[in-house]
Amino acid sequence: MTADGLLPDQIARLRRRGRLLLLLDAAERAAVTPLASARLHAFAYLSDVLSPVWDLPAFDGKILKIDGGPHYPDLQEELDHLVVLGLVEVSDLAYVGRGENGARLEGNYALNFASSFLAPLLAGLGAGGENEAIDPDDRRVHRFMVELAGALATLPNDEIDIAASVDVTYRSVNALNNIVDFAEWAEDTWQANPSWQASERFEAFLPDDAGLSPGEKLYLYATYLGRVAHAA
Amino acid sequence: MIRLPVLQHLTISDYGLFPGQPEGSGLDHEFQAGLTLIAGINGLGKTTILTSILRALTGPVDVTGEGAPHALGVSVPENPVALRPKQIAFFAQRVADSAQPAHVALTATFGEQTLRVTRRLADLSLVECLIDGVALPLAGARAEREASFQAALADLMGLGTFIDVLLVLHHVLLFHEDRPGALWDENAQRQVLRALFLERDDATRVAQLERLVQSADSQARNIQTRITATEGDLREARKREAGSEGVIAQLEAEQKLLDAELVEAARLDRVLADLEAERQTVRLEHEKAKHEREEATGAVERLKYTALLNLYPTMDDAARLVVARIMTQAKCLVCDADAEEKRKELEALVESGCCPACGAEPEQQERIIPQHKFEQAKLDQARKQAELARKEEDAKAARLRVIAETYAQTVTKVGDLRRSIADRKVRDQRLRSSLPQNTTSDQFEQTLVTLRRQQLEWQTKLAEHLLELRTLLSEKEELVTSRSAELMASFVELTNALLAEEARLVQVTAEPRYTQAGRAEDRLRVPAFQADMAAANRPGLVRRIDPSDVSESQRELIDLAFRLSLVRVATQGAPSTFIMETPEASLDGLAMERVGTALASFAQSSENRLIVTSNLSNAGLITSLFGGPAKDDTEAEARRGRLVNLLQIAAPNRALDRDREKYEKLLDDALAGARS
Repeated sequence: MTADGLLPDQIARLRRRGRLLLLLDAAERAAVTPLASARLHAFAYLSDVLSPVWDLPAFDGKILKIDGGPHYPDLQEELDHLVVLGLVEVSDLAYVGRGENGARLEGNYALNFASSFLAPLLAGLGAGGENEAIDPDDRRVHRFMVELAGALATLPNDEIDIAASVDVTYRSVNALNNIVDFAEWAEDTWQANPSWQASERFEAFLPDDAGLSPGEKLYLYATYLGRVAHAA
Repeated sequence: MIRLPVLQHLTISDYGLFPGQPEGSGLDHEFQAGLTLIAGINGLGKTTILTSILRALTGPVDVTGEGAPHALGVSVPENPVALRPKQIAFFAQRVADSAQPAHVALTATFGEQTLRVTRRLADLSLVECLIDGVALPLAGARAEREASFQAALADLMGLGTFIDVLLVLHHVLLFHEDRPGALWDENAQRQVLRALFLERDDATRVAQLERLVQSADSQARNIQTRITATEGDLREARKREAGSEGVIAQLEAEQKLLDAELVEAARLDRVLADLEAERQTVRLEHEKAKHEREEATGAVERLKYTALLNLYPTMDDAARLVVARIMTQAKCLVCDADAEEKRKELEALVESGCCPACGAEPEQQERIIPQHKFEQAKLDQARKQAELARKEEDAKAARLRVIAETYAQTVTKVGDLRRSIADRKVRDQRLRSSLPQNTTSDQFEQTLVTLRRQQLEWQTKLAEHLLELRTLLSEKEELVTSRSAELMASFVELTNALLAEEARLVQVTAEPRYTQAGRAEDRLRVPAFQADMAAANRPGLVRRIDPSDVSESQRELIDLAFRLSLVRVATQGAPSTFIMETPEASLDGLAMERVGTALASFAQSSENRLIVTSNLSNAGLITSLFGGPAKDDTEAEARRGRLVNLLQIAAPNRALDRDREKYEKLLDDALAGARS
């Protein structure tokens, strides 16, 4: 148990909820809400794999490659909680068949601004004013997510949907036993993360005295994803 | 382009084991497209025929002196190895005349070209080799003649070396019941993928680099042994010379501790490597279990949610989700508490038509809520699956935690140990420098300097070869990975036909251990394939890595599907020959029929040759292999054209002498099948 009386598992769950709120807030600012489940999970994955572009650690440094693109069961569970807590609103909730006998909950998700708890929570997580964040570093996480959501929002809807599946790290043939490990146990995270490498490479095509900001790298990488998705 | 042999004709003449019918005619068989059945009871020479086909093509050499090894090492030899006398005498020792007059002649086509090879069975020596009717010049000593033949055969098959010919024959085309196949032997699989999918020159270079890496590693380690011995000599010399007993004793004590720590560090490196492999596997299983759990509980929840949707169409999505989650997982989404009592209560209310919100009974309701009975059987099944999935996830999570803890502790121990080793080396150096110098110890010092320089040279060579191998493999892995989708699709199609359980082929990454220390920087990653298969008491598909993870028949059938898929993909559908020894050995009756039908389908596609031996222990398999019961006597008779009937061709043993009629009837019945 930690000093604040929470078990590690409880802390992990709260962190997932915070992350979901930030992802949805970023999507809101990019005007792409409500987010369908698949798109939300794809966004979560891309924010992990591209986090080093912003010099941030990944929330989850691995992904299991499965049919239909990235999906995080743990994150989905916390999303259900946020819905019930009234912080997130869901529409078109439905169970979609998976495999022979399974099913998965899907819906369209957006922040519920009618909740009076939402604004202070978002502010505490770094999505509000400069001095409101509990941890000032969270403001960087939020800025990164807003930038990434903005970059992805430039793609047509159908291309956003498959952007994560065509991501170079996700498609990596180096996946050990179907798990792509780009930052969990990987010894060399640069080598293990071709998406990061690709994002940084854009700079090589510029004149010597020109450079790219992290945000511009994200936009260029999103454009690249769009092209691959379009050709797919 | 790979061209696999399509057998056309086999004769075995003047060999006592196969006098033939009429007597003296030997064995003479024209292979037709499709099935050839070599039928005979035990001891009549089924394996001898298969071995004669193999040795006609390989001659008196193989991957090792004993033949194909049970498991391959990390690298393969550059040249084939001469078979031991006992292996060469395989045919001679079975007959009284030592097979002196006996010959085997095999004709096979490779794409457009035809090879006819004749060998003496007594010593497997080459008598004649014709390619498209033109004799291959066979001059010089026996080894040179064989070398000419080997180069010609590698060319015919489109492979880089004769070793690759042997690998493909053993691990793809010949199915021996006692050897794990390419799917189960990581090294064999890597070598076969290399031989089949890389360009010839690259395939040869990769194999060569693998040998060079291993050789450099071995040289560096051998020198280390000499360094250790010389260091011992040096200590002794100093003890004798210096009279500095105190320092020497201290040095020795330090050296002992250092040696012990070096041994422990090497042991911990191996422990870490094993833990690394295990945690990768368990992480995969844990991640998969999470998805299985979500999807299995989702299935239960869907049933409940759909019912609630019908009962209370105006209920808010979120409220319905809360109720459905309680009814599914006995878990409250609002406060996270366990809600088993509430689950029971809600289910009872729904079943009795009471309102789940206020509990009002039907007669008190303004808007009557209908009773709802869930489809119990479906629900029970879905619940069982969900429970299994949850247990699996919990178990894997617990295991992962244990491994993570052990791993972290081991990493800490390794770190401490390395620091201690470094400190000891500094102390050792300091103590040595305090010793007086003299001639004898100088010589040892000089030897040590030379040895260390040589060791460094080998280590540099090792690093260079590794770098070239890494570069070449990463440039060429696309040649394998680009075919993986075809391989996987073919595997699923074949396992659907061969197995009752669902199975699929998964592309993974292997890390062959080229150096004995297995350091992280020495590891290379290459594409490999493993099988996932359904299990009776676990949800979803489970990765099967070791042959002991499955039953004997599953092991063979999964491997068979993998080999057939390799053949299909490597030859791009061109015909091939596939040889199976007594497939009935490990199969039950129903599986037999399924396997027989699947093999018949392979045999009938393209111009494939499928050669199967059978000891007549299961008539059903033979009938299935021929595509089911014969429609009439003409068809039954036609099947005889595909038969190498050892009951007639082979020299009879006592069992055949005693029960010939019964065995012949058994074979006749198997060929005709039970007609409807």
